[in-house]
Amino acid sequence: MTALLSRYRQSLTLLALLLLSLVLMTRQAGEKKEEHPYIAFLFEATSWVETGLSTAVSGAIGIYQDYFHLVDVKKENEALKERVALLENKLHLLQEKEMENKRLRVLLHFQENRPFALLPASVVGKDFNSWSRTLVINQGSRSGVETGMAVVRPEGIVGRVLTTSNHFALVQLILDSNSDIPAIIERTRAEGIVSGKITNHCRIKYLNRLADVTVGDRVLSSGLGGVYPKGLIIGTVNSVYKKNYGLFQEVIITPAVDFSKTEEVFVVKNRRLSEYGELLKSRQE
Amino acid sequence: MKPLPYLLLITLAVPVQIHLLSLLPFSFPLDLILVITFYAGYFHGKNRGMFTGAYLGLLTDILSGELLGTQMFLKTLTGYVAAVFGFGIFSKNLGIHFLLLWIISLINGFFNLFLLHLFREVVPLKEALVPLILPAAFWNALFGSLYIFLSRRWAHDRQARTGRGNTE
Repeated sequence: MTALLSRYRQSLTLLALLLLSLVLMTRQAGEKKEEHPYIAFLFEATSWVETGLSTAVSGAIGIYQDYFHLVDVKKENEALKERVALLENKLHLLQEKEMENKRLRVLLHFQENRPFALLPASVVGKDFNSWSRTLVINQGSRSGVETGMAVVRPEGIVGRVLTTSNHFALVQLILDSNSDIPAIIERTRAEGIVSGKITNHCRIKYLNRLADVTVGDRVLSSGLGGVYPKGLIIGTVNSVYKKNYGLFQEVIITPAVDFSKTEEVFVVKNRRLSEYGELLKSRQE
Repeated sequence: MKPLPYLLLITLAVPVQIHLLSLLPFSFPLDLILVITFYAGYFHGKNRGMFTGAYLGLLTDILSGELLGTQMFLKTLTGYVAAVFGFGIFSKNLGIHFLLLWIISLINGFFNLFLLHLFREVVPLKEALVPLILPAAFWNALFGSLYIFLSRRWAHDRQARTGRGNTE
């Protein structure tokens, strides 16, 4: 028996590891992720590493670009070009400040006109390359951010907080295929569930095939489920497919938020909403 | 390399994979974890390949918010298959490494699609093949084979220097 075990040790190890991962997947499929202390610890540790690495890479890219800007400059033009570069840099900085100012004004206006408390946060990391769609923001549990809180922008919904550490939070975007948002069509009030697709679009699931939906209709959060406040824009209808059979129709929507250009977001700190979410969850259990 | 420094070194690849590659101004669908797992399996055998893959895969799952176990499953399998390749057709040829990495990346991509299909979302093959699986396979193969070539060369030079030092 021992000889047999030692003979097939590697195959058995492979089988055990694969089974372990399958068990993990099966346990998590269909339910929302729970936050574990070890996940928060790992997340905090790597987020600091990531922030350091991002700064280093941004610096390196800057040095690399500056080098290529100046490497072919002739000696007699060096002083002049440096001056121009300096002025351009200043101008660029001013333009950057102006754009930031505009952005912050919009955000401030958005923050002032909402009935729920909003916590501003900056995006410090993005993960769009792999099969998941997440952001890392620089506000964590010390600022009162909790798992499940909604994350929004003036244009619409960004996603929900998946994991928090002391200073950072991982946000699952609405583009992620694991994300589900109860939604309504603004014009006809037809209800469905919006979830992400890997093609950077979202789709509406469980939308009655008789419901009136046309391209260009706005899709809003319905407020059900206790995560997202009611009436926030999710996106606009991009295409509608109706098969000859089945109970539902397939609707693809374009998200209102351009995630590739997202720099600042708001975390919705609505205690009443999270209490409502907890109440629903306990009722389901 | 001793287990702890090795573990720390490969751990660094996870934040680089998850967050840093997204900072680049162009889309670069490289799977660094796959390349490292392939290297571990191909050159150091099944145990190193499987455990490197399982560890890095689990870390990726935790930190990227993916369904826990997906990447662990895929990368464990990658480490094992790479070791099988290493045992059967071990070569130092750059082209062979490119081809094997390309095949392993494709297997990884199709399995990923299958797991997604099984647990989350039905994604048509054509929607995933051209924008995701094929570019990732190409970049993994290109970057991975160059990485293996350079690191083997560096290790060889270092060994030669150490040998010379001992002789002197």
